[in-house]
Amino acid sequence: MSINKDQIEHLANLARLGINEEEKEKFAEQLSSILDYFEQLKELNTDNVEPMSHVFDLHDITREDKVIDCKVKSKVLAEAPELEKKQVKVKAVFDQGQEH
Amino acid sequence: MKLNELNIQQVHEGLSSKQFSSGEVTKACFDKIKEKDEDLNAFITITEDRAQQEAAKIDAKIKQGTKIKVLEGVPVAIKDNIMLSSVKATAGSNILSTYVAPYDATVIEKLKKQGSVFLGKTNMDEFAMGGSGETSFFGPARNPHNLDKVPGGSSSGSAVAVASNESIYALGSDTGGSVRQPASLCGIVGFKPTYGRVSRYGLMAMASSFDQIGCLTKTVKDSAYVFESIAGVDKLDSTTVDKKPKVLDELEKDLQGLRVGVPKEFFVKGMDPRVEMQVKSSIDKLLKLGVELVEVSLPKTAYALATYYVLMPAEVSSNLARYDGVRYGYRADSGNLLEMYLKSRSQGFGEEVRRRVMLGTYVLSSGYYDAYYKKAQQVRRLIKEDFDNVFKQVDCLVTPTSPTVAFDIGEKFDNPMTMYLADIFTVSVNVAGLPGISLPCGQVDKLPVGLQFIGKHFDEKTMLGLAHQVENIL
Repeated sequence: MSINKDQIEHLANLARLGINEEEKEKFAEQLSSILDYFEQLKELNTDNVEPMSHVFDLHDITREDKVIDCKVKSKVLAEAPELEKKQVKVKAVFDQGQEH
Repeated sequence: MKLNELNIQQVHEGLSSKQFSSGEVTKACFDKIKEKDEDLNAFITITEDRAQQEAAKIDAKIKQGTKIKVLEGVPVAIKDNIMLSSVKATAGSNILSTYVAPYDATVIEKLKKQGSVFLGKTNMDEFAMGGSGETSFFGPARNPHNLDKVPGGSSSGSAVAVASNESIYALGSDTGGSVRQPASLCGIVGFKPTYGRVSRYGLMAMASSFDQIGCLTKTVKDSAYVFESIAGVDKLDSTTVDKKPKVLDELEKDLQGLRVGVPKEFFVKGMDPRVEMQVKSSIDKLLKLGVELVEVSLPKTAYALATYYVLMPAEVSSNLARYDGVRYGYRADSGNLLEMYLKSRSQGFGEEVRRRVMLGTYVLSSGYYDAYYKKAQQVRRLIKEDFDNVFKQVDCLVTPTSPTVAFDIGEKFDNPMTMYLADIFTVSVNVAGLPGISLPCGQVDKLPVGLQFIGKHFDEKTMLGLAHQVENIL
């Protein structure tokens, strides 16, 4: 299975990772060789095998829906790169005249 | 013997009988850190003032004649992906290089209740991704047996701190071997409990269905002490199980007739023949304990590594989506929001992390999901069933921990696939959620070799008992 530079660019965009030309080439090559290694899984017959997402059979655990005071509010907010009136500030989602 | 060279049990005995104080043990550890850590690079943050205050409190208690718990006053080092409130928690990454933990992980809360003395936070592969310690943003930790060699990873600093006597013991996390493999390469004990034994609350998630907190210690018995202190159900981690382990009482249990399986698939081409010989001769010594050695087969073993390297990056790519420069961590200067994401994450993450995020995004993306992700989940079940079947025949398994001794810094760094092979004997344990432990079993080229035991789910006591008694005869 080989992966090309265009696919790498697409993946990087999906994963929100900035990537330069040199890396595109390097990652394309490395990911291709890792995907080749995965080919061996096809040797195994997995018809009717239930996919396992977790080692043990988990069941939902519920609790009462009540507000519990978070005692570390100020410490958490202190980690934000930019704050305004106790709210995290980010760049505008949409620039004027530009679409994302 | 210097105080920092003692193990947990010895420190506890010395403190209880007032031969020395916790402050003195703590100072001995910091003296060692100051002498050696510039070369070893085991610590990212040291918390000396705080540790001395913690030690002084315990010493006052001992002076008053209060009986102390076994971990009370014993210095410990913590892997930097575990949250210790008000102390930096970087996970070895640039994106969190200034991040201060706002709360305690459940394991830390438990250790605080035990009266632990925290020396600091240890170096690690970035977000626990690596088998050598080299992917850390803060530079590689070095193997105390030979400074040109890697200590293994990803709990590199925790292993180095214990092996070099900078700390009495340490906590690490094990997703594919990250406690056992560095323990093996550094010549100490590394123990990963059954998945679900120890709360992951406050452990930065890498691959949630594989991650488990474990310990790095100087003896098997020390691991048992730590295990009993940190295990247990936690409402903040709904994958924890409500079973309180009792292992210490079982360590000396007679092993006569215990059936120990030797899986033939773990002795394969590509393994250093001298390591193989050392492991095999150690396994032969098990007979002295009256156990029965049985050759067994785990036919899907060869597929465990590929399975792991499909599923783990998938979980990584979703878990690491939270590091986006918005609420905490590094934020790059940028003109708009999209650019902020792209730049923060490309400048904040190292190469291996980005490689795994890309790989995970790929195997989860539409058109490839069934071929990779679903297929690997199916194989995961087959691998677990392999173990379930083998554990109908035997009580415990014994294998090598690593195919080689510690390798040169830089040797495998440029080829990800070669590096991934370092996990070959440890990953299947995480794939199946089993408990595993590595203990030293001799040396090759003056570098430690590790012997791995694998137990049944939630049957740490049999595995630890065997490992403890083997430790005494090796």
